[in-house]
Amino acid sequence: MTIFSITRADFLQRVQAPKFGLILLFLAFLTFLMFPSANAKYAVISVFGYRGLYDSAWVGDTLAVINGLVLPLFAFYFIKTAINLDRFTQTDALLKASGVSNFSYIMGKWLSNLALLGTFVLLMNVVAIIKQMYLGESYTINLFTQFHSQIYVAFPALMLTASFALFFESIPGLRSGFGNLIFMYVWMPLMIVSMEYDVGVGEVMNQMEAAARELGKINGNVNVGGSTITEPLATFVWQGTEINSGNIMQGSLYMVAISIGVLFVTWLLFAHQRKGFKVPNPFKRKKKPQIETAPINIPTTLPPLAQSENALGILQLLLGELRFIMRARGWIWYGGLALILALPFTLPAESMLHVLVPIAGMWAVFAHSELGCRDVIHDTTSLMQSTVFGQSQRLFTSWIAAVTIQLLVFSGLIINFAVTGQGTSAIALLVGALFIPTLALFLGQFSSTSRTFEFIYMLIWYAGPIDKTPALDFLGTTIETAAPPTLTFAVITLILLMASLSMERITKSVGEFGSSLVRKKS
Amino acid sequence: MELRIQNLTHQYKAGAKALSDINLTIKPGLIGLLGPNGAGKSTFMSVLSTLLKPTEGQVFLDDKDIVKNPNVVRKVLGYLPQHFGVYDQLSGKEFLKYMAAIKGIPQKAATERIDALLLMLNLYDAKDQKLKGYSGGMRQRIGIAQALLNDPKILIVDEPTVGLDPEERIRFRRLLADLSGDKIVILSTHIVSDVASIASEIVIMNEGKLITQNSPEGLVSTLEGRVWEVVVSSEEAAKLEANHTVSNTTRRAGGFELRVISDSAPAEGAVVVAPNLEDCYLHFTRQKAE
Repeated sequence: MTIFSITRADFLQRVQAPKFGLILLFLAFLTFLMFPSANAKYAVISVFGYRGLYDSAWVGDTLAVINGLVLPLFAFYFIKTAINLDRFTQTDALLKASGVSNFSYIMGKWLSNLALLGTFVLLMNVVAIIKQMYLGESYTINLFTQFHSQIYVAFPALMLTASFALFFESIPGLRSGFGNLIFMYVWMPLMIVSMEYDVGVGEVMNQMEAAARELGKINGNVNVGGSTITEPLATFVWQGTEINSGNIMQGSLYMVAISIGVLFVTWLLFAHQRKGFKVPNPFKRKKKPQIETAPINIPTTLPPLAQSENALGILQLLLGELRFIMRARGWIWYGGLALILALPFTLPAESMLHVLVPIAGMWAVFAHSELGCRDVIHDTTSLMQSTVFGQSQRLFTSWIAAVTIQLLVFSGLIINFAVTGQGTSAIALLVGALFIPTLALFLGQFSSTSRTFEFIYMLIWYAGPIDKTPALDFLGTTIETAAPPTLTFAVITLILLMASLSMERITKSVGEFGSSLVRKKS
Repeated sequence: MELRIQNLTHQYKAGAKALSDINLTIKPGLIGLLGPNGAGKSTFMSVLSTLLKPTEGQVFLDDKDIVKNPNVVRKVLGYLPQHFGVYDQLSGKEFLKYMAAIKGIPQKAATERIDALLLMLNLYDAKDQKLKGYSGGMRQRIGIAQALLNDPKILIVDEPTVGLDPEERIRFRRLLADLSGDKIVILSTHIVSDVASIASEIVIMNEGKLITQNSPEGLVSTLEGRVWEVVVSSEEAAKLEANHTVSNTTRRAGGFELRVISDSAPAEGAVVVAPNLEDCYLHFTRQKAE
């Protein structure tokens, strides 16, 4: 009963947050795109130039593959709040005092994570059915067929995601956005192993490939997740994944076993933490003991503030913002920055483009991620809004400061590119230095959380500078094969910046309109 | 300098009227704003500190409308909200430096001021320690420090003594009393003793309305001859509590000693005693509620 109560309370708390509606909308939109029409220029799953006819078997198996591979990467950002939320609201102390056992607590939170993921999956299935009906390739709905492989393939992956989310919340250094980045590097290899050894999702793809081969003509490769196509894909009637295949069951069992293992370790860590044992944070220097001073010779009067002109004006605010960003970074960050600044003058050109540029593009992400939502995150709105600098001025100054920091990170590379006559690459980085903080500002203001930017930026960064999708390569790392989309990103940056700076005015106007309605009513 | 509040009303979108037709003039000195939880004190403070635009009414600083021109008051304002967060990753000194930049204080003047504030608020030795390591009381003192950074002409503090130990409370009260000479200091609280000895004026609010505005002496004089002390049995005590405002109950050998506010002797053996501010607060807030 306790486990159920914890699950219910935690689930309700999280689904009632305003951003949850936004997440569902975003997921519904992505699911709608997941089943492109016959004339679309992109495919989500293409197997040697084929795709299945949109019926329950293909729709269900597409969702099984996407939800087993990609959804965990997305969902991890949003479910990794179960324990932190209790810490933030100080409910953890109440729960501890109420005698809830560690096992009940962790199980309750895990089930709540799973319920959230289940909500996502359910929504995606509903949207997928609507899209199937809309496209009309098959009007038959067979829910058993649609959910069959999802239960065996996607569900274990989601169980594992739910366990990892709690595990990452139990390790101090992994609770922040840095943990989200690390999860990406944990999940990707797991999925690569699944594909390589044809277990779980890998086996579904294996069976799809076998079915396509039997059709005869092979055209192109196997793509999962999204790719552009020049010719429409040919369709075939997909009979559905053979679940009884040993590899599907094997994959499911591995996932469930790892999931239980991770959950068990999390439970142990949590129990130790509750006993007072703290998990050492490997990314943190030793903290000085808290100093509470003895109240000796404390002055009881305050001298007046020295009167002098503020010659710097808004520049002083900018210096304050810069100091803020710089002071909040640790010594590891500065060590990395020193390397990023020095290496362009020693590395060969190829390594610089394919290794150093992507790293530099990621280096200041957590310095930017609170842009536009810092006051909400730290609950400082009331302190900041009663000061002389308006919200717009503060936002703009914090954006300039973030651009300055990003330019500093890129400066070694830009200078090197400029000196060696690679002007296009230098310009791509200049635009990149504007784009990254602007995206952070826009998404921070829009969603009031740093996670949205961290997630969306990492997707773009992975697809573009790392995976070399030319249209998303905002840092120009594919320059050897395609012209970088610098102009497109410059325009996007401008639009996002204008939208961010007007957002405060729009919000204010909406607020005033609301107040005027209340006035009229009263 | 004076703050003139005219017909101030604020209604939240959910429908609750948090402020209802408040009219008040505030002159330099320390104003104790008293009222039970939910009286509308925090909404009133938010309007005065320009965080909230009222649905009706005006607030003038001298002759300038601060609802229309919030910067008029922001330049001279120090504000300590009831609930506030800090940037945990900064040290106490860095946070104050950032706040000084936000408040437009020149750097040199800010540095001297920050040092003086850190010393006075007993935070100097912890100035380089990150805020996430601060205790609740230390955080509250950092909040007080940021409110005093710009040497404000108007200081608005909402429940400032929460989390402070008794010694710090006394020191903070003394500081507010010192500051209030030519400044307007508005201190909102429901702890009467916080303002009893230092306020030049008391404003009592309840259910979004202004109940009374008077000097502490003026308020106390309204209950002259109407506060009684009497020792009664527990049954009689229950009866008295049901029919009168009882401002204090103490267990005694013969039953309970009650402090009762009443126009006439509430029970046999009751003796008139000198009223205090706590009696006034309970009398006015209870009267309104009834």
